[in-house]
Amino acid sequence: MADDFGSGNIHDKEVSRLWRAWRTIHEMVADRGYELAEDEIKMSLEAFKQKFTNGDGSPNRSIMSFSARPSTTMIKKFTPPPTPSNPDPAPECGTIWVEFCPEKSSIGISVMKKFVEHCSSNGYKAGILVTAVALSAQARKVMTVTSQYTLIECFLEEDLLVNITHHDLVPTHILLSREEKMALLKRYRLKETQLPRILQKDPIARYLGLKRGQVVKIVRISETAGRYASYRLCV
Amino acid sequence: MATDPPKSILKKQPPPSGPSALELTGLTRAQATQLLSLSKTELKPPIPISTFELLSASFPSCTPPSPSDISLLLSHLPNFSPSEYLDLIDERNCLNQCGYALCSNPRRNFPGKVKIRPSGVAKTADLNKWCSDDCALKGMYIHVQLEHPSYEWVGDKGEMKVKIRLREDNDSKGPVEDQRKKVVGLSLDDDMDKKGDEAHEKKQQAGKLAVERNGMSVDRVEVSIGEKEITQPPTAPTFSSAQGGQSDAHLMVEGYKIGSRGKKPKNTDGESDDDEDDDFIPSIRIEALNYGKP
Ligand SMILES: [Zn+2]
Repeated sequence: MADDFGSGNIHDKEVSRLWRAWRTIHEMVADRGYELAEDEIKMSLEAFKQKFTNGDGSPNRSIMSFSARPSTTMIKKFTPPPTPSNPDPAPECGTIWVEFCPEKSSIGISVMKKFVEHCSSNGYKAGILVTAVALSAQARKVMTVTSQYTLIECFLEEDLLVNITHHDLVPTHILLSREEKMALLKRYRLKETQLPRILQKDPIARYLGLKRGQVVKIVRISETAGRYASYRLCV
Repeated sequence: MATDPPKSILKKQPPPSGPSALELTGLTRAQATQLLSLSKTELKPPIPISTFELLSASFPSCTPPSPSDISLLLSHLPNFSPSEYLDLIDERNCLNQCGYALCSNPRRNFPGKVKIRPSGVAKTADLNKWCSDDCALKGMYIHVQLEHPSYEWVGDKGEMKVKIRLREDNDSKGPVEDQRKKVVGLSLDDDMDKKGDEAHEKKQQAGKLAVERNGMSVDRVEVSIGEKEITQPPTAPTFSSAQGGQSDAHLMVEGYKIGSRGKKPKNTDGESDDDEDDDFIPSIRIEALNYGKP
């Protein structure tokens, strides 16, 4: 990456890191099933620089925010099966809002509250805040307290430099819908607690935004067995 | 045959007049005692986020802090756990304020990762939490009291509350500073002004000790070391010379002969005893030989 720019602008390193985080977060949002245009996901560094830097080459994080709507397949996956009492259930997903936090020194309660408020007042069902520095302990608390209404997630720019799911040794993780989960448990005559587990803080679980109780199907390619699937319950 | 039920030896208690407090709550006695024991182990509820906001954003309202600010802070502080207090410092720092809750200055901004100061090497991240060393002392003074709490009774309900004292400006001289001054040798006069009699006495004692150690005492003993003159070459001592030519001198240890059964040292009078013993054994032998003959 460093070869791409010989000229020694002091902001070049920061901009290229930010561009990589931008690409990863777009891939992540797309992988979760939201609709994004191809050219938005695969934006080149040059185009990124043109769009999101100030005159002096420093990045302008405040204009990098974007939103995405869930695709029809995602809506289908997140809609609980109809019951007699609720014949037309509403999908459990909605528009997602992603923001890059311009704060560089520290992120406290006030910044977090503003973000949460923005998400809820604009009717976003989920919000992702990408930050350059770690949150304060109390800001993290604000995030978990309010996550009952709007699902708030936080990622460090540093953690998004590489897309972990593109690594050779990371198998494909596929989220099961509620119906698929029920079918799985019925087929193997299991209780859900009998499934192997994956932690909610696991990098892959964070990437997919798994919630407690959801099940992922993990597909590994095996030289002897071909495709080999296993299932994990998020705890 | 019907018998009377056994008579109780306990005093007869009058039946309770009305429903007791326990009955009113609708709990069994076991449940009530369980609740009571649980309430003792109850953790302090976490500090609400609004309190953090109250004590961080634009607090205190004026410089120097008003009495109402101080009493507001003191009313909230006893509920803080040590880590929550550190969170409060963090929150204030996020807003670029000095970590000490009663200081309205912006925090300082040393560059670099570490800073070398007269008192040692410190991380700038730690130094930059405060506007000055004074505020750092005051801020951590509270933290220490939360970590090692002393309790006081509050109100009629017998509630225990952590006692918090704020650090005053006039006891701003920390132990580290005092010690440094002592090393330089400035402390004695300084202490005099500050603590009066006690320091004066200390100084006198220290003076006495110094005099004693430096050897400036009046009762001095004159010591002179001279060489001994040698007239002839040294010779090793011999037995003959030590014991006056006695034949059993080689058996003696420090003038006593071993094997003398705790008796006083042998002299010429005891020789006869020894001779008797020696004669006795051969005489038995002869008798035995004679006995075997017909
Ligand atoms: Zn201060």
